[in-house]
Amino acid sequence: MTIGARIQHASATLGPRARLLAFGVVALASVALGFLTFSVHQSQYLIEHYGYYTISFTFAWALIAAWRIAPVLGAELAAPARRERFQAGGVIAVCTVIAVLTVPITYKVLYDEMVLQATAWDMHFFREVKTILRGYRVDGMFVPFDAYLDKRPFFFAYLVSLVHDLTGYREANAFYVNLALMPVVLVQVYYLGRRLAAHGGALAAVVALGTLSLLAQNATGAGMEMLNLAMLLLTLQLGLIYLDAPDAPRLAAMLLAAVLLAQTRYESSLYVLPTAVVALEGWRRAGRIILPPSAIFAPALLIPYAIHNTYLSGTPLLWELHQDEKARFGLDHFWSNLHHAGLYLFSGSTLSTNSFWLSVAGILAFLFGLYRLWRGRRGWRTAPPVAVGLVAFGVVILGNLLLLMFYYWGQLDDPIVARLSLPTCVLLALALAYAVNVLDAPRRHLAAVSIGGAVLCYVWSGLIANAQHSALNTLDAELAWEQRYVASLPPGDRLILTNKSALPWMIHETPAIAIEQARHRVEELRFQLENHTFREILVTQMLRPTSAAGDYQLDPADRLPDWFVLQPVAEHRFGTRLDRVSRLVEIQPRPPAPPKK
Amino acid sequence: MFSRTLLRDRRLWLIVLLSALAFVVSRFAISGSTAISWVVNGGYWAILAATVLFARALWFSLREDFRGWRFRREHGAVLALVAVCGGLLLAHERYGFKVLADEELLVGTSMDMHYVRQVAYPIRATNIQGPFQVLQSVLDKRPFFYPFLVSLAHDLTGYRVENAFYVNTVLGFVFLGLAFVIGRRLGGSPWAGVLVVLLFAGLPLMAQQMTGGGFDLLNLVMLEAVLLLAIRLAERRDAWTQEALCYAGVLLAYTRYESALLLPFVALVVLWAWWREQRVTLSWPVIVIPAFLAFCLMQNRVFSLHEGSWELAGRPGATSVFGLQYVGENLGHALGFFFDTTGYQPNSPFFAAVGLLAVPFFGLWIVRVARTARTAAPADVAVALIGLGLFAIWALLMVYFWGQFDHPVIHRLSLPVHLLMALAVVVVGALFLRRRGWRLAAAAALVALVVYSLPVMARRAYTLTYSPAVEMEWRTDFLRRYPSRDYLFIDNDATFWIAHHIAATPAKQARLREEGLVYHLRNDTFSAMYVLQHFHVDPKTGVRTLDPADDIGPDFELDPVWEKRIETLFIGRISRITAIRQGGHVAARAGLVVTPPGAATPTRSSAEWDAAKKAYVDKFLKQLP
Repeated sequence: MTIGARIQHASATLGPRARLLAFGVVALASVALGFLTFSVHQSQYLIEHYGYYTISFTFAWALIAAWRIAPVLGAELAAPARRERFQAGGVIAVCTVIAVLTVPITYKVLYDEMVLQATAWDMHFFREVKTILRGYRVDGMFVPFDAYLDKRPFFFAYLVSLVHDLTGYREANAFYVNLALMPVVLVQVYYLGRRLAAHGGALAAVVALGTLSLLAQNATGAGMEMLNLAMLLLTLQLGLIYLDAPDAPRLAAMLLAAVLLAQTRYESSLYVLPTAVVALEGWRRAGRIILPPSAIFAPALLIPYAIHNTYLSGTPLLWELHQDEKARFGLDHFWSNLHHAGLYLFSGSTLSTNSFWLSVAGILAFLFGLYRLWRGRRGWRTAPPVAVGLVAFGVVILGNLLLLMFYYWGQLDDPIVARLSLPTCVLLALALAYAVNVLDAPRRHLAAVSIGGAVLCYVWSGLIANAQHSALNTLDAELAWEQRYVASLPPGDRLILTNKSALPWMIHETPAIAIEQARHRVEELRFQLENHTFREILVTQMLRPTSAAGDYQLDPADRLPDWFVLQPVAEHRFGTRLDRVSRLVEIQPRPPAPPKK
Repeated sequence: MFSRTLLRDRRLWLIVLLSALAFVVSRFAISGSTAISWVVNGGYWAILAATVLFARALWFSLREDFRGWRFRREHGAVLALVAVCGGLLLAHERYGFKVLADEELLVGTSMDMHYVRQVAYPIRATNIQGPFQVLQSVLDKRPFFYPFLVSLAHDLTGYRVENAFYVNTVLGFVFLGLAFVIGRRLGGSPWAGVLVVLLFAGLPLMAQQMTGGGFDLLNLVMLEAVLLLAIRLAERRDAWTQEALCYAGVLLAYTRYESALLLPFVALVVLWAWWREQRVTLSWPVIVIPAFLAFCLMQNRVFSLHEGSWELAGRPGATSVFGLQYVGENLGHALGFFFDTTGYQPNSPFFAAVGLLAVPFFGLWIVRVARTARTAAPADVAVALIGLGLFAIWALLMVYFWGQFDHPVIHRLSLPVHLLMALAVVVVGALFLRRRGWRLAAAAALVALVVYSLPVMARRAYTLTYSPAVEMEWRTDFLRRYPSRDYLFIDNDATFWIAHHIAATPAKQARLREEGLVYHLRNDTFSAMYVLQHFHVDPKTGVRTLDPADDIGPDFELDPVWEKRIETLFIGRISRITAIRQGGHVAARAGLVVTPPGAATPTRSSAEWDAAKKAYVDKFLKQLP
């Protein structure tokens, strides 16, 4: 008998009280272990060395749980008529293909996405949850010399590392994962829409979301938003399947999905709450306590998240606070952030990634849905599963958005922050499906109107944003140019002293350090230069105009000491800035320090 | 009786009123600049709406046919024929601009439609803020349905100049497919369809169009669509087909200037259908058609605002745009084009021979149908009316001051005439030929294709002797060898570079804005500045003389990069600007930006950086040549 089967058997032999007691013990122990037992340093060590194995275990268990309910999932997928499935598939394929073809497949949120790539690299090669800081080729092997634990939850990095494991390491794998997730998200929106509406309404929701440039931007990047969205929808979907006919296998699948969701984005741990509500509602509907082993051990599976959080809370350096900021959340950010949210959601700019249609029609539909919900509140005991699930998860989605409004960096019209509105956009799309279904009449053709509105807004601004938005990020273009330039040079080992992050070079297995670090490692650099360890040492710096006439000045932050002799070799303008690559020719003796007065 | 029905119909009066209003407003009530502004800002949405309405009507008209449609072996054979013939047309020709200025401006318009939803081509643009920004655009005189389709391709697959060529490639296959349908329908035999496809497959002009960026192939496809829908309306006389035909006519008018001539004939087909039914069928999309046509009329005011739009100066001796005095000469040039056997014309003598033989009989057939309009088969009436429209287009081209079909720029205008000839061949052939006859005719067309057309297409002499096309290929080669696209080009054909997202300006502008070039050379705005110049070679002395139009003045130090003999006595040269002098001294030299050495530069606050950036951007934009 396997261990799993033994646990299953032991659990089955326990009575409901015993299982509840076991759950309580595991939960208390998990809280104690996760939040109270380990210091920041110990937490870091534990996650770095054992994080990979805990997430592997959870993921494997989730796969087994999904396998157990495969017939139910198959029946769910086959529920709509064949013609409807064909049409929905066509629409989803068109939306995905347009996104792939029109949005440049590049990094959209610099450094965030690079850090995830670097973590996936480390997980793939060394099975550690670390982000490389320094690395060099030793005896032909690129070896990390210095690494740290990043603040980001690592389920996405884990999935990418898994793709590396199965297909070989390549930077593009992170992009492929996200591209594959776009149809996954849209398919789930369709099936959730079908629970709220007929085929037309569900298609309206799919088109509203599929024509959202923000979704296309994230699907062609290397961030964790698409996975977060996919896991959120999957958890909700599994919750509804569980509420349809509450039993242990369905509950196990939902809970394990929720555990993975919690490890996808920082704030996604909040979705543990609606998952618990759905689980309890399932007990009420079934008239019995359902506690499979996965439910009993679910709190334990969240221990890595809690330990990671302990590390993050104790490492303020990772909070990326602006100058003069001391806390991440504050009341004084609320009105300003709300204003920015309005600017973003209702923007008509061709550089903005919003969908005017989704914002206007979606919010109206959402208000209509709230009104209907309020009117039907007395019948909650017999409400359909989709109402229960959407209310439970919707409250947290909106709560997350509200929380963002108090966050110091919660301006939705900031290209870096806009992605955080994705769950809200999904909620609006689903509200649209519901409203279309309820308000439609034979002569109204609301589904067609809704689809037409979404497509028109896509033509108006979304398609242009698809093409142009990523050009706002000149830093990515700078990095790409630097890497293209270095690749065009004759072969040989090079060390890059970069004015940006060293990560983009590291994930290409090219040694690089920040200029700031180079200033402190003068002797080491001199040694390597004199011993010709590298074919050459290149320095990237930025020049900025200081007047209308130009009068370019080297950015003071990029300046190396004067005894570093540089020979400029290439230059390229990005926006108003000039990106320069120079060769380090010589490191002269450090001049004696001026006498102290 | 029917005239009373017409006069009593209020919807008809409404459409007449709307037409009058559209005409008065677009031609007289608003100023020329207002009309152009309306076209620039509203044209995209008008053509989008017209296209959607056409697609909707076409779908509802054909929906029933699709339901009963099953794929048969014959369909596979037709698809194979079209694929092979289209493939032959693509096999020898290179993708690229075939007609100087025309095709570039169409791509330029598609670029603006894609990026800013305006019907204009960009003349100044920058990426100083990161994304591509159009700073200044100009409305082109060319109808904009083709640029709209190309902009759709940009929207759905990302911007690239080559989309213009790919759209034409797709249109080429669609054209051949529809040509088969027309041949089969009018000839009464599948072999008649095969004959028409082979006739066009043997026309080297088609190969040029399928790989170029012009709007002529779309024009042909829309002509075919109008013809087929006219036949369908004449036979079925239903509202959806009528709507589809009307919008096909509108889109045809948006495709090429002279194709608007077909609109009265489309109206006649509709009127005939009403007469046969003894009732008026009018849906709201048809009633609002005058509003769409108003955009064509408003755009047409470009010709009155800019006299140069007619390009009369390009033909010495021409005094008016249209005139009977051109007919004799134009007919001579047309015959010269049709029957040239040197390979220097993209023609098909076989096509011309059978076509011109059939055309007079086709004219007689039209007269016969007109005389028996009450009893004639509905399809015949439609074919006769649209055939008359094609005759009208040919007639217009023959009275046009630049209607010489054997001119490299004008070859393509013969395409509607070729369609007319093909139509004549199948209509007249149907009177005499049966299955065996059609087979023999198709076999003869195949022999002509193999014996004459394929070697002519392979040699491409008609392209290689047209120097602007050769230059275009040279520019494309330069792009391949210098792919970074971060340089500035001084070239009188600036639109080519702008369409490829490369900063460019004409030589005259460079002379006038030397200060700006100094500014950008000094600040290393572009990785390099190139100038494209032409030299005429004296046949006796071999001395090269710079074309005055390319002269940028003595202040520029140039380093030749690439020279190419475009014609025997005509040389092109691309040079890199290494320095610009002012007042005898070097004001700017190409190279990396020089920063002051020595002491550390002062640190600035972010507000100071932002202020400096803003001041720089403002001056940068003003100094763009």
